[in-house]
Amino acid sequence: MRLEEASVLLVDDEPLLLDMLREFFEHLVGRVFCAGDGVQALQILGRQRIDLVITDIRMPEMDGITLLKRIKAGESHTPSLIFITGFADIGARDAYDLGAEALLEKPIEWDDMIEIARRSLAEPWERWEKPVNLTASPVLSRSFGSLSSAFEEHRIAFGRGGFCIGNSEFLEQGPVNIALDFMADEYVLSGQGVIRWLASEENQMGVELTYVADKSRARAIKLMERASSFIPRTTESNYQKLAA
Amino acid sequence: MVEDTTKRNRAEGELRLGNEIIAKMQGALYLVRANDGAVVYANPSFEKMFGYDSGEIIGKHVSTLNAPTGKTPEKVFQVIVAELTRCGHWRGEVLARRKDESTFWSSVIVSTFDHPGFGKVWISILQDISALKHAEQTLREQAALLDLAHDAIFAADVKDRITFWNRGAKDMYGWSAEDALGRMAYELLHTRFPSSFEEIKATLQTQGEWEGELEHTTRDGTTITVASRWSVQRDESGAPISFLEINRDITQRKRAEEQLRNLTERLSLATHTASIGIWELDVRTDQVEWDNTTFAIFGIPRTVPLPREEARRHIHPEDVPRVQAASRRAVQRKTQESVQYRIIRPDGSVRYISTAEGPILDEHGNVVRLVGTAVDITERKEMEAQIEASARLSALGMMAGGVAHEINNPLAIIHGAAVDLLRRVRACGSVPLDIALRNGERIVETSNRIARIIKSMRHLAREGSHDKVRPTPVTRILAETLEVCRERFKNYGVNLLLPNLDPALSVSCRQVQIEQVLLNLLQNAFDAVTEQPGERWVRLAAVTQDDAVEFSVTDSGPAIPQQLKSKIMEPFFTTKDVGIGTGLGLTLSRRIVEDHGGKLELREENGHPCFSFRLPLSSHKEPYAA
Repeated sequence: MRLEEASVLLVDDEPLLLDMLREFFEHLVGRVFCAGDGVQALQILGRQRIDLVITDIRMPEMDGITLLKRIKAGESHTPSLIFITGFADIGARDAYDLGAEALLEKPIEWDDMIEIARRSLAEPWERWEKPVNLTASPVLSRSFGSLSSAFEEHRIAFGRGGFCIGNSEFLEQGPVNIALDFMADEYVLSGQGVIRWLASEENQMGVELTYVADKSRARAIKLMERASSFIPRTTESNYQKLAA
Repeated sequence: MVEDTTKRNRAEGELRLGNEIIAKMQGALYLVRANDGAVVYANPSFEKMFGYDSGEIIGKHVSTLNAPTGKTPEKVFQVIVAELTRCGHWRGEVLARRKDESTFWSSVIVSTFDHPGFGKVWISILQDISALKHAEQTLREQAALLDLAHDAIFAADVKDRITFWNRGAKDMYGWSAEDALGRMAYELLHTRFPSSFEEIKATLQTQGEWEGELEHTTRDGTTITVASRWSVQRDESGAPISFLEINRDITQRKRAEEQLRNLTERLSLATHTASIGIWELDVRTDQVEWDNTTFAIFGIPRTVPLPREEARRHIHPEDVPRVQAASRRAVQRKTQESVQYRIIRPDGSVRYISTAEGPILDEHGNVVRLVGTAVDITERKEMEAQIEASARLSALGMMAGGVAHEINNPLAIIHGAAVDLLRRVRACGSVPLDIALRNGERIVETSNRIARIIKSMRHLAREGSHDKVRPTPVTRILAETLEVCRERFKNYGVNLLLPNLDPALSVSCRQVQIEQVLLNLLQNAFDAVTEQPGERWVRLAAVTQDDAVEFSVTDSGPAIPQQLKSKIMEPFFTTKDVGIGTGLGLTLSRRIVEDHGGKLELREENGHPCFSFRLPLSSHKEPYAA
């Protein structure tokens, strides 16, 4: 879906910020709705078909995480969801696991926000078709016996937008080149991504895919489209869903 | 016949002589007829001794003359008769009875004799020995008295043989009187003399007595130390006849003295090594006595005597009243007091001294002296100041972390407004007036908000301990504190529960310090609940109680385990991970609250930990305005 046709719900408890978000999106998207907290947001979601929710995480009454859970639990259409947060480190892992597409940090880079909103409304093959220049970035390169053994051994778990994997290279948050080789399947998932979160104690990290090479893209979409998480919170979590 | 006459004359002459001797002799002599025990003759000495008229006793039974003792007079008579019958004579002591029934001890010799006129008679010669008996009795009583003494008392003759040995001597040395009598005292007791035995003898000769300490070995081989007093008894010519030695066991005392000396030496070494000065003030003379360490601490040469005024001259003038007050309290209340003060050394350097002092009482309970310690705590003070500074810095660091949370939202607004303006200008070359106004207002309003937060943070980062205690509205205290932490609570999903307060409610305090305490308690509560799963809240309350306001911070975390409760306010105690907190927050908070005359307390509120303290309500009549 194109941004210009979408219905967007903005949720923030900071009235001035909410005001400005509204002004900003008003002439960019189809329709704009505003809510001061999660409860109001759910009321609007119950009345209107919303394509994209852009919400603050920390709010009185009902916070963004709870709002997302409630949306997921609802039977109606599930919109894409972008979080705005003062601190990307708070709850990022849970947010992606619950299915949030992005976490935007305050102060907001408005142009980035439009880009992210566009992407989250786009289908995967559109999202992953454009590489950027990442020659200076590190490489996340891993070989697995097969997809099934990698899942069974909990070495990787895929979400809708990326994967959770062990961080044996001690990579930092940020852009990364990706080459995952599943040998028995003769499948190499190559592309680019961004490390969104690190759980150093568990030695795991969440990686969002931003580009998938043409030859591996179709299989990647097939592999990942059924997941409910955007990025699973552990390598164990998604395996069970895939197995079921 | 002539011969007969001569013979008879001679015999008569001898008889007359005999009669005369008998009549004149001092001893009482009487004859008792053996077959009936009747007195048949008594000489004048007898009659005088027993108080009878001449011839009055004749014919009376001999037992009349004996008084009952342990035995009846008749029994005594039978004993004597039996002995006389066996060997012809008896010798002994008898309690004699005068005519007037009074008695006296007598020594009696009885022998048998065939009298030409009376037949077989007993000749008794009797002497009054009551004076001797009395002397003996006195002696026995004295000996018994000597036995009562705990001191070992013994006498020795001029050849140093023991002639008397009391019970104290037996107890002290383990030798009985039988063991000791006749032995050489110095051999029996293995006496070790401080000087030679001869010297002591010489002293005895010239001065009649000697005193000193001796070492003796008892029967079981134990060596004891005795305080010994010797005296000499002389006869009329002045020649010594016996020596009396009185010994008191002072082994325990010596040992105690030794221990005391060792202890004193050790204590002295310890105080010297630990640089603890010891001083004493004589309350009556106002003289001060210092040990070497105290002089070293004060950096002045040893002066004796040291008048109190002179000692006082080295104390920092500002601190003299406190030092004097402490001493006065110690004297008046008879309590231990401690005080910290500054001294100025002759080289001008200032040192911090900590003193603890206490009174020494005489037997009437009056304070006669003050004894105290003095420790140079300058280094400790400096270290404490450093630690406090670093603790404040660490609190600042934590607040700096908090800044990000507090100003991120307002910054996002300013940023958004500015970006909006720029974007419009770039797109259209101009901005509609209402949009420019609106964004301008947003920027100003939000900048002011950031300015308030920064002001509060700077305010809170101040040291604050030298501020005046002022009446301060509780609402202002809470507002300024919350300004710098509210967002952090929100960002981490911690519900901050706040009281509804009367804006007129004021407490007397140093505002900055109390805000620091509250911030510290809120920070601790925040750290505690963010570790916990489930519902997270922190409740800040300020409740009026009588003439005070109780501030409390309760969090949704579990109660603090009993074993941590006592430790939790100790310096450097922390349950937080390395790098989070210095462990000084609660210590400093407690100090601040105590400086305000309150007490930082930890209790449980429905199973949740609650830190609280009270501040006095400020009366509006106070001269200075808030």
